[in-house]
Amino acid sequence: MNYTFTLRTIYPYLGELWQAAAVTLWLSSLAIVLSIALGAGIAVLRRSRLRLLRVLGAVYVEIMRNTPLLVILYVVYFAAPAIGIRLSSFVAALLGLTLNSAGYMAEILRAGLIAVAPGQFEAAQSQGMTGWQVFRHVVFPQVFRTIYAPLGNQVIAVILASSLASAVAVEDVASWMQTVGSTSFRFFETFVIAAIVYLVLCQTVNIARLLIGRWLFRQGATR
Amino acid sequence: MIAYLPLMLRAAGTTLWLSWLAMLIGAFGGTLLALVHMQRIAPFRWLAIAYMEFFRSVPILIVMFFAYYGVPLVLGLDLSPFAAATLALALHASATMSEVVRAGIGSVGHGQWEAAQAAGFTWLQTMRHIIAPQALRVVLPPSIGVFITTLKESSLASIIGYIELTRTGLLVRDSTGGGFAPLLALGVLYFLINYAISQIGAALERRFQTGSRIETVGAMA
Amino acid sequence: MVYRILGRACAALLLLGMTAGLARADGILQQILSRGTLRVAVLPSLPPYSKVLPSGEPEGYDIDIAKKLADALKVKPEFVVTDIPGRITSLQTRKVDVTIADFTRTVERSTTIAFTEPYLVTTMRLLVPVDFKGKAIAELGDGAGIKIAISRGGTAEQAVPANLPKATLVRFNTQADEMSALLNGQADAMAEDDFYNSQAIKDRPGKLRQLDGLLARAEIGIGLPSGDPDFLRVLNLFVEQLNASGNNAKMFKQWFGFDQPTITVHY
Repeated sequence: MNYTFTLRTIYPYLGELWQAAAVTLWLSSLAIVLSIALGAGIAVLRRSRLRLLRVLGAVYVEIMRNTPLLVILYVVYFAAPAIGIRLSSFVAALLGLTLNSAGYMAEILRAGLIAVAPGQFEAAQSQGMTGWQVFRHVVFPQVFRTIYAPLGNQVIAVILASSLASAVAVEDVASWMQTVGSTSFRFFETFVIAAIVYLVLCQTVNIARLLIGRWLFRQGATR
Repeated sequence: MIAYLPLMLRAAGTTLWLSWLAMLIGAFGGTLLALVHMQRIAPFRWLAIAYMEFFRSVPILIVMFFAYYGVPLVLGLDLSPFAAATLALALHASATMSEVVRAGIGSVGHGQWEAAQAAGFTWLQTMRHIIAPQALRVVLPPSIGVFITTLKESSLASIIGYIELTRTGLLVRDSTGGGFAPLLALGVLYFLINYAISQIGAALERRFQTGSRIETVGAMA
Repeated sequence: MVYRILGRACAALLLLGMTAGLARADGILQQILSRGTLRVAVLPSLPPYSKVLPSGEPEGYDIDIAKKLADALKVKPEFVVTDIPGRITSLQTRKVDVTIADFTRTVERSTTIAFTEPYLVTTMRLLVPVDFKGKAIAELGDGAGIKIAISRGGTAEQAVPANLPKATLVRFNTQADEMSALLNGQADAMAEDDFYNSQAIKDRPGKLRQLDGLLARAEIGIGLPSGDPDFLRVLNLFVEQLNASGNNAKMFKQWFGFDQPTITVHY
């Protein structure tokens, strides 16, 4: 087939691409921050003394890790109104992404908490450290070191997963690709441009993570 | 809704078949990629790294669109929705699997290579009789995680028009007047399938206690 | 082992390739006749034009036209479910031979693909919930603050901004998703085909109505890949006879429940 690669027809839509990229970035940043918070809550739940809370946390993680994000998005956007929860596209996508990502964040953070040997709390306390000091100087550095690499992976995963928000009418980069592709009929060009946008976003995170990691943990490897 | 349940179960079979095929191809592709990555010649290594980084940085949705619409436009090769979805999922899975396989091969102590060489084994013989059997035990459990990810990713095939589980659920929704039950049923079905698979994975992990464990790879999809 | 893996990978790829067919140089008509099947792109959820049953079997007005066409060519129809953007791309990439899916012909689209003469002329109107404020499109002013569900890449992409420049577009891939968002109140209105809207109102008594006035006129034709005048000639003859014989009107009445408006340029 004679397909000539031509960007000329795409030019008029490039303005919308920046907007779309901003939406992708904003959506994934919010989802990352919120899912870390929610994930931390669940990780703590999973280390609770109460069995019920532990089970609850485990059930949440299993559900989120075993259900496709696309289905979660459909449920949050199209099915939730049946019980009176009517969300806009953006909020629904944010909620779906956050709920899903929190399942993974919880596991990452839990692994981090496990990495801190239990005896250290007592040891630090016997040194006369306050709760905050224990967290700041003993717990946090160890947890952070353990979760650093998987956290970076999860950040990239959320950026990639945010592309599914187009299914619930969020105007992100993946939506731009499909809309412009089908109005300008230059599908191949729009695929390439959209792929480049995601590639740049994810590799920026990836490289920043490597550099920051190298600087933070100068003596050890992070990957 | 209940009347449509057999249909959804059959569609679940389609989804399983699609993901299984993609996973199989992905596992072979990933092994190949891992072997290329381990070569001493730098350009080979770069190629493998570029491939992995590319598929780690581009959403599977775009890969799928590309396989379905882009490949015929550019190469003139016409892929059916099934073939396009399989190809996209396999390309993606092979990138993840290559890391799993590499870690698996890496888990076998270096001393064994040297010992095998001293015993007169060729590279192929060493790989086949010494390294592969040990690596397999390390590779298998995390592969289950990759399989679950692939299965979840296969839901995106619905967007390129392949009638698998998700698309069937949406069609049932359309046929039954737009209720929310089919969407919930979809979630439940995917959960049950994936949970069952993950339990098999956990059992394998217990059975193959090897000391050197790769973190179970399971990604958001 | 490397070679064995390589060999298996190649075999797997070949297997994949077998399910696909290479695009050939000879005419589309010849390909259809030698293949024995007519590949038709259809929409999954646009009743009564088309509706795909969960079994994958489609039914509807457009589907019957496709079956008639396949009969005329003495081949079997093979339906390929696609979405709004896919109607054009699947022709562009020669995945299908024709698209019969409430497909509006436009000059812009015909720079990429070809269209037959219309078998139906309809209009695009706004479907709203019964409690919507206002009776006509003209009352909406510039449309500021109104969320309108449209098909991504459909003709509404141009028609809605032309009439309501400030309206917010909410884009979906299928009409079922648009309808769901409209009924859930996540969109205020839905820009769709008048005949589809009428059916939707009938199917959901007391829930929906249409606003007076139209967004655009739409000539519905059969879409086909560009660059094959021979195939276009055959399809045009088919459409001409379908219209003239009264078969078209008969099928329309059967699916829509009312008489088909005359297909003229002035409708």
